[in-house]
Amino acid sequence: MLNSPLTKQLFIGLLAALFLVLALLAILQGPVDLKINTVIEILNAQLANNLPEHIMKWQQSIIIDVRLPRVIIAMFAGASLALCGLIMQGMFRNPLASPSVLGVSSGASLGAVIAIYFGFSLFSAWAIPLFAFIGAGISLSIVYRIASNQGQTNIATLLLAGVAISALNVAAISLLLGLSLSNWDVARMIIYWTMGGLDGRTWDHVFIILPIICSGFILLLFYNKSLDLLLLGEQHALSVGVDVKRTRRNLLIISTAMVGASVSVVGGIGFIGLVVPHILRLILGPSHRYLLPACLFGGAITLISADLFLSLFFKGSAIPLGVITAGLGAPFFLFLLIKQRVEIN
Amino acid sequence: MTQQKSPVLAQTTKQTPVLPQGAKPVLLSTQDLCFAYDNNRQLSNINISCYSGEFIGLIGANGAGKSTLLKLLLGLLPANKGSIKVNGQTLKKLKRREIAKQIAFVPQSIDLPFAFTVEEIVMMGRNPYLGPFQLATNNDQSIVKEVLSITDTVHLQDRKVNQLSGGEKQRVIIARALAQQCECILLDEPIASLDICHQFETLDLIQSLTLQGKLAITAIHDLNLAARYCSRLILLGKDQQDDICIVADGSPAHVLSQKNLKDCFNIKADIIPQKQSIQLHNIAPIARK
Repeated sequence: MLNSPLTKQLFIGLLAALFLVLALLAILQGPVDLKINTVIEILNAQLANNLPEHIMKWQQSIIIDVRLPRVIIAMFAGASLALCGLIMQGMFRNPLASPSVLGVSSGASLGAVIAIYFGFSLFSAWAIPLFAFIGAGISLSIVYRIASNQGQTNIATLLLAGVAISALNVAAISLLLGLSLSNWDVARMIIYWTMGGLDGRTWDHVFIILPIICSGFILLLFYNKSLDLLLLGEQHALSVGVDVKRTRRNLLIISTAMVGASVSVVGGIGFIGLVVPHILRLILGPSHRYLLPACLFGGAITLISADLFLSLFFKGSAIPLGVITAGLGAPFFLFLLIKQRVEIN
Repeated sequence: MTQQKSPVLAQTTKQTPVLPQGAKPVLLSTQDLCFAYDNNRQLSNINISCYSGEFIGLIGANGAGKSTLLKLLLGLLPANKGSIKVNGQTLKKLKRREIAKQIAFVPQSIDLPFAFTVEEIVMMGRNPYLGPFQLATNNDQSIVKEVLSITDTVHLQDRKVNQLSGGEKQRVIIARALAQQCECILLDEPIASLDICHQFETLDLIQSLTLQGKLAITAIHDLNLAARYCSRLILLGKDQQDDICIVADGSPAHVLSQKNLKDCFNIKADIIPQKQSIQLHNIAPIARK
């Protein structure tokens, strides 16, 4: 664990630098080979709004309309999942909490599927994120109600409630999919949506996810001290002046909005919300002043590198992103658990 | 607790502060305070006035409502009826941050599984005075330094709280409460999980604070320690309607009478008068009929 504030800030700076490098690599990487000079020229041209003559229109289109939104969405979705995992781990005082484990992601998926099934998504691009938000909110508040008793959360109850709600959500999604098979247009939309991932994401998706996650992050920064205090328990937080009820409610709303937004755009991607905050807490310690920005970059880095990994080594295959995040995340998480157990003994 | 005191030494150097009743303004008071639980058990008509410099022990059998009364005084539970005043202001109208500037609280459970340093934990006591992005000022830092030395935790300041012993954690939490710089400090069974030596040390520390003019109200199970350290005891028990009320309120000698011991704790004991207090010897349960 890093101890001095300076090394912690340096570490966050390194994360930011790593993020920028990976983002650039992700823009360079794709089926069409574009030179780094071309990419930079295109990006510059986009800002200056005049395209040099030697660059083709299709090259610009690939960078601006295909790769850039993909990278931006990967960045925001990863960041939001990691941040929500951080908030949930803090609020439930439990390192095992995360959007996917607590059934929040599947709740958001169910909400989105409902929006598609009943045709709300045809009226507005905001229907899917809105319903995802509602689904995530209902799931999280049920799990929260069941698991917390007078500010204490029982680990087993929390996880079991999450498992039960997840199972229920997944069952409901399957039910709706089964019912929709008679209407192929709807069924196709649901199937396409549930596959998730970053393929075919456009600027429309960016405009859904960007404002919610940016404002969510800024709001979360205001709670950095309250989050530290909540880690110590409800009574401690109350006794030093945190309005626990209001703070919890606001944090729940912010984190469900962020999960809803990211799930509605990229689908359920597991383990980022669990592993990223956990690893960063081991490195930076429990103070949210450092953890919040670190999770922002850490989550973005994780999802972008998972996507890069897929496009580098599994070209053309349809492996979902979640397979990579879980495939890399779960073993690492187990390694951390074992290491911790060894240290305690 | 600047110097290490052995239990024996503590006994000889003990001094009970004189009851400052009447002379000083009321710091914390309740008027006709009522609170009902879901299961019909209820606290009814609690009237207390607490003055600065008092060390008040809240005693009573298990389930007699000690913790509940403390939580009511802090505003953690909403009273059904009646009012609580702190420094002349009605508690209900104050925001949590404002309350935290008036009343500090040391909770019963000290479960600190996260790797904050002792200094960070104590600095959290300054939270009511700092905005969300405000860094600690020199003043905050000197207050933290001071309370660390008062509670004899200076040598721990860079340690992680999850690696401390129970007694050390208790002192750190008391330091955090002191950093709030409140007139009143409420403690929920601060010595329940401590060994006998740390029990004395903790009570010595609280007593020294009250001698400096702070008000301390602590829930406490050990009647002898309560009699020895507290300047005033409040005994909670059941009345004829099975409601919880104040059975007795006053000096230890007044509160710990044979009748009260029998009625509230179902015990008997020899009550031995001491210099300024009393001690209970040969405590034994009374056989239930």
